[in-house]
Amino acid sequence: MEAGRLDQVVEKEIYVSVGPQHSGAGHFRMVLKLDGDIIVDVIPDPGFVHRSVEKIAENMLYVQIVPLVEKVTHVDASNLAMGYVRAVEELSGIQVPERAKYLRTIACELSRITSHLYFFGIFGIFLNHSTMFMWSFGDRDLFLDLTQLLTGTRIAHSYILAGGVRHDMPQDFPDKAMKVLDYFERKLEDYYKIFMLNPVMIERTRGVGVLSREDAIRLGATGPVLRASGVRYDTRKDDPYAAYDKIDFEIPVYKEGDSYARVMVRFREMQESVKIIRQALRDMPEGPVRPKRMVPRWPVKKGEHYARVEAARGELGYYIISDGKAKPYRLKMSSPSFRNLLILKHLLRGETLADMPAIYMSLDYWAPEADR
Amino acid sequence: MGLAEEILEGLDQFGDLVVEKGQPRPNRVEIVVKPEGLREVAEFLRSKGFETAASLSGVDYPAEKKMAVVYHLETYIEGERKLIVVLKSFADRGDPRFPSLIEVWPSLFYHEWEAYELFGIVFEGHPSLGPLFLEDWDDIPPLRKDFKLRSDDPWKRAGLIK
Repeated sequence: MEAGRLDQVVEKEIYVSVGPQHSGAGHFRMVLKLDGDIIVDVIPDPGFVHRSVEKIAENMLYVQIVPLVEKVTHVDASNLAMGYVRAVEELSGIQVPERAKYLRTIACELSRITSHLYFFGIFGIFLNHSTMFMWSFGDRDLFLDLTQLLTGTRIAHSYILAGGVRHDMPQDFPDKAMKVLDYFERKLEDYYKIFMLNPVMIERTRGVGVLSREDAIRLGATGPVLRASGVRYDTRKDDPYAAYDKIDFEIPVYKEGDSYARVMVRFREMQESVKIIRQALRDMPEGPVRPKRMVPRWPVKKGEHYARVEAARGELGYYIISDGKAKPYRLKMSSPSFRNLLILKHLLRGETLADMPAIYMSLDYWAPEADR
Repeated sequence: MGLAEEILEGLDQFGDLVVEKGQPRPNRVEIVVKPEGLREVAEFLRSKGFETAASLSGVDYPAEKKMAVVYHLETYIEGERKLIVVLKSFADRGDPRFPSLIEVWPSLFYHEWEAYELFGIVFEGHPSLGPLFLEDWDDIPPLRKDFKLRSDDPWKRAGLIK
């Protein structure tokens, strides 16, 4: 029997496997190389939820690909569809009615809020802050109800289609939306006091996992991760689509680059999203929302195009090559989580094991989105 | 002179390494480069402010017996952010090889790895080309055009219809 004496302990580097069963949001594994409790190296192991969207897309009609790409990040479905539809429309010169642009903006921002609330909930769980989880998921349901009212379903909406949106909003939507937005804006003030000023939250995230501006650009960080490192870059402003060029909103940017800044960016983005939805409801013109007849075979022209949108997790790009047939020749999805995978590897090196959850979750890594 | 014109003009210094260049649509600059010229052109584009490679796509052209890589580059220079540079290069389909550009754009690390696994494109100089998404894969790289999906119809797969 071993004596259990401390001087007999051999110190050496060990490998610890985190995941793949829901190490965060989705099935993802990373192998950490530890020296004591310091992370020496990280080997991310994506692919547990790889469904080969790009290959399946080559065997599907353009219209069938909308639900396919949406399911990749089901919490952020409208933004995923928006990017794909934007690429198809710009490639083929398909015109969109003005009213549909505003409805798209509303759908995208509802998507962003539900996605960020999901993030808040999971981040709270990772910091053992169960109130944060309960509140976020409770409030998220209100927005899912709104989404259902607008699109017909809570997730995987397939609302945004080439040439417009599937149908107009119901008459009682603006009233109900305003009620929810008023409530949520008040509630966000409480969020700030209870979660963002929480001493435990501050202690565990401030100065943890700092990503410098140079590294963020060099390593290709995107979305809230990039903006938390001081780069004011948002596709909604810099390469506008839908009705974003007619709406007044701000891009929250923080210079610190730590986990706290990344959470703060998302928190402020929810406030901006509320503003955007309000303006879109106010300014929306009357008129049609789609062509009279929606055909299952979209008139996609021969050629190729790369288009991008700002999804909840960052910039999402679609590269479509069309040979003029009913199905795409090639569809490439450049997803924000896949881009931020390299940031995870970079940030965790040299940190302690105890800080791992606060850093990993602050990237809002979504495993199916990275695997595709 | 805008950034797009500046780039198109600056490409003249590479002579016949640049096969094709142009602006197929507003805010897009498209450049086709021979594989041996990729590194130099990449460094030139980086020095012009294209610091991030947002996407790398492999494309298979079995009819032309070619394999392509397509880089989509973006810039954070104020006022030029709508511009995307599309950098393309073609290689022989039998043995597609390109120089790895991770020293120019470190953000390509996982993108090159993915293209290696799904297309069988070799990026010379990449430190860790191996399995990434697929496990125990013993067929041809799945995103090549000659790899066919077995069936997308569950009824067919189950043998219930022909």
